[in-house]
Amino acid sequence: MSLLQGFMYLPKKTYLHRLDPRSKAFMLAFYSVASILILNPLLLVLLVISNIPLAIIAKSLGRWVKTMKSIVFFAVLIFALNLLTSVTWNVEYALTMAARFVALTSAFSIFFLTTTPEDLALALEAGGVSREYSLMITMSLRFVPTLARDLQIVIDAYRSRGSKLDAKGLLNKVKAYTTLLTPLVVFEVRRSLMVAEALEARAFGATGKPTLYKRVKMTGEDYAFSLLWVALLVVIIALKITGVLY
Amino acid sequence: MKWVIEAEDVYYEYEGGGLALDGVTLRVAKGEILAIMGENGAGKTTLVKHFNGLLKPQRGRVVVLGMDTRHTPVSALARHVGMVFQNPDFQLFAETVEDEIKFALRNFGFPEDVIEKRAEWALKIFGLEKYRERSPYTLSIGERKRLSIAAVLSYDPDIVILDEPTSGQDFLQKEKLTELLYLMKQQGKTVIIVTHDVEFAVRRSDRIVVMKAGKILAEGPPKKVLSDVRLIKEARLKPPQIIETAHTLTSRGIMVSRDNYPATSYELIRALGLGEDI
Repeated sequence: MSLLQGFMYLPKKTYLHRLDPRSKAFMLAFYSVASILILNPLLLVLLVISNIPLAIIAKSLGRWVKTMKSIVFFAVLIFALNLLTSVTWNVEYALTMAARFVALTSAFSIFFLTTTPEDLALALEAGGVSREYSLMITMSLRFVPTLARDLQIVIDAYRSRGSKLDAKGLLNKVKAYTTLLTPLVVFEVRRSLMVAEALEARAFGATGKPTLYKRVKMTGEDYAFSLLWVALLVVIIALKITGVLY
Repeated sequence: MKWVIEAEDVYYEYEGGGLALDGVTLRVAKGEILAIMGENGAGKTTLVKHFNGLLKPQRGRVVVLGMDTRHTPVSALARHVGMVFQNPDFQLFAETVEDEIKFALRNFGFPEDVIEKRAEWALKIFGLEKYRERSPYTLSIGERKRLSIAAVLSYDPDIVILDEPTSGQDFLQKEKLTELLYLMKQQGKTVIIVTHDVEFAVRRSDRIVVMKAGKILAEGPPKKVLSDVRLIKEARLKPPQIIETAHTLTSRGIMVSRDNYPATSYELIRALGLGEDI
């Protein structure tokens, strides 16, 4: 649950929250490219640490730390899997893969913590993505908490009829959770049909160019912020090409 | 009086804020039909979730049939406390209607012949026999609701909790539900209904508990509680039509005694002195 919360908008009034999602996308671009180009686990850890000041600026350090804690399990899993599947027991390689995952999650968490789904959709549309697709993205973000709540109801109903979730053995656990998924999936499919009908009933897609209540706009702040990350992006690519970074 | 549920000064706050129960003390007697009413968000569902241990009190305690819910697993309590949730879609797990009814029976480890017998009984009493091989999800909403009730009653719990049982049910199904309530009462079962349906509550329950903002606002016999205008207003409920009519008649000087409001049209006629039959 705390993992999901790490990707949900946390309303605060800060510089990072105010920025246009497009300028924050440059930040994401830098972190994505950097975490792929950097092959040294220590440098990747530095990359993660560089997110701390950003989290502090966003006044979301607590939530960011929680998110990082909640992905430890997955990071260990990635490390173990990479180690086991690598022929030469390459520890550094496995560490790199795990650190890369952490670095990416961290940067994306900062992005989603400071960006409302609505702003994200507007930015996507401004970037030429069609309304259907931008809506799909915002809706899926919007329904995350709803889904979590629905799951809790299903679990409650399941336990109320004498079923135990804490079954022993992997097979039993898988079986228990599969049973839970049945009502959840059926209901969510029904819900999506209802949502689709509600959208159409309210004339979604009636005109190609709907009136926008809110617009995203790149300001001076945004250009400065974008420029910073583009510069860093250029630097890291240059370092890679020149062989300084290996 | 034998109490089957004793809740003492129960507090419960959901994660992320929102005090749902703010010191609730309530005792439920064996064999009574208790209706819990109140506006949305009053804490009704949170309260009943304490009765089968799904939620544990953060302060205070809940004792069900002598078991302290804090120290008893839900699966042990579930055998004695049947809970039917509001939305049937979240509680149908099996591939066929018949298996759905057998789901809990199997969980509790009943012998196969008992399972067969009880499933037959439940299918029949809820008029679901013809659907036994169908997937629960192909049923109508009313049928799914009945199935979710049947699936709980099939294992014969001592206490039955129904969250909004009348929503989405037509008159005939409501009457069937009433019959069933009385049948359960006769068998000495305790029934707790969470409902907004004042008409149903005033006629079918022995006692009403009115909640607001996590507290119990009032409790008592249905007619007494639901004829208290000030209370009804505070709890954002609508009085039953007969009681409303009685109020109007009283205020026009045409009516009857204030302390014994009628709950049915027959009682109203009697109270007006117009005789027994009409």
